[in-house]
Amino acid sequence: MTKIYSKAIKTSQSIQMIRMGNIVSDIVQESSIQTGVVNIITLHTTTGITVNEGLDCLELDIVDLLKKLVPDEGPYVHAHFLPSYGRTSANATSHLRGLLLGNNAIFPIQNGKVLFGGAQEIYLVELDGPQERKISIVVSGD
Amino acid sequence: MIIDVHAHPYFLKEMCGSEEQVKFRRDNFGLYKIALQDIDLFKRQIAAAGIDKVVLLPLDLSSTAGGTLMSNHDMKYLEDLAPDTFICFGSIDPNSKTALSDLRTLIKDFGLKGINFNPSSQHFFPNDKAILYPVYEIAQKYNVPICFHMGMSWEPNSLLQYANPLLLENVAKDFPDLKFSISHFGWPWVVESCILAMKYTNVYIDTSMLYFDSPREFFKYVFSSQIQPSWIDRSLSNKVLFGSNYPRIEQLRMREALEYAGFREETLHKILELNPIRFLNLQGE
Ligand SMILES: [Zn+2]
Repeated sequence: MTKIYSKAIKTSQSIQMIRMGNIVSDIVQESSIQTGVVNIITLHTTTGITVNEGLDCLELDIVDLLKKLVPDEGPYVHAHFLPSYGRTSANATSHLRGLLLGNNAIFPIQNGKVLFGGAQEIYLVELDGPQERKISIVVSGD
Repeated sequence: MIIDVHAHPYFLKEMCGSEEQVKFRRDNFGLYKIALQDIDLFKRQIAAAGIDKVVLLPLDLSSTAGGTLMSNHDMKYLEDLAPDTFICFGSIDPNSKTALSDLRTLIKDFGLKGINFNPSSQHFFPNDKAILYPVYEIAQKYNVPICFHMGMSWEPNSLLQYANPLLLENVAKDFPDLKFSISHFGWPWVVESCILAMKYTNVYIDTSMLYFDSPREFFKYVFSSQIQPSWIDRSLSNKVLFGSNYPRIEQLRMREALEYAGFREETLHKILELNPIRFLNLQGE
């Protein structure tokens, strides 16, 4: 059996790490699936989904690293008027930072619960906020 | 109190009725793929940009497109939804027979805080004495500031022949107590905008310009190749207003562009706070 859930999340900063572990656990419980996997997938190109230890200090380090690897200023080509949008694309850094994080995470489900490692937290990383973001959570198994 | 003097509210969910209305706005404002967003999200974006108040500008395109992008009645309603954050202007169509009565209603009944014109998409010459001077007389009498979209506008039906800032010189001279701003910095006529703002005490310029490259790159180009940061620091620090042109670009990106343009700290403080407060008659608040 596979069930697909969607979650809308409003962010409040231009770059923001949002902890998703509890939300995913609740959805897996709601699904009644006992054994299987859960996929957490973002539907956007300027966000990322990643897994790391849920600590404030690490969140700061991760944001610093993203900014260092993709500096705010650079000769980005994705910085011009887009006639089909009627506006300027000014978010090359958001796309490129998203590239480093990927769009999904996957976890096992055992005995009806998400099998997290002791330190693991799931993050939605906002890279072009504040925005309203949609996350798809796909629970598969028996 | 940091104020963005130039934003458009056409895609706020609370103000979008039918699909046809949204399509009319997309087609005539020329912003096609934007998602509708609610006021709560807009407020989060305003806060993330470190902005306290936002001037929201409607546009009456009755003669040229057969409707308004947002009516004055709606602007009054919108201001009441977030009176601490929104400062709503009104708009009239100068080519309409009801322009003067619309203007009085906008000022007296709705209490809107200023008037927005876009000569290039409303198709009028702002120095047309027969049509516009009665409008300016009323605005001057009630001390209502005017925002003139000058220079390049992205609206598909806009024409640059109506948009040279020098068309405003007679207005500046003949209505010395009428405060008005040249939006988009009058781009590409940036030097012309500076000349008017330097010569006439009632003329302001807003920074809502983005035509090439990123906001930071474009501001650097304008303020260090077309003109000099020193022109603003030394001669025009009291005449420039921060304007973003949201939702055609994010307020945060335009604010960052301004902060990286190379102005003195004191100048930035004036552009972001003191000048908009004076322009909008908010000194008592
Ligand atoms: Zn505008």
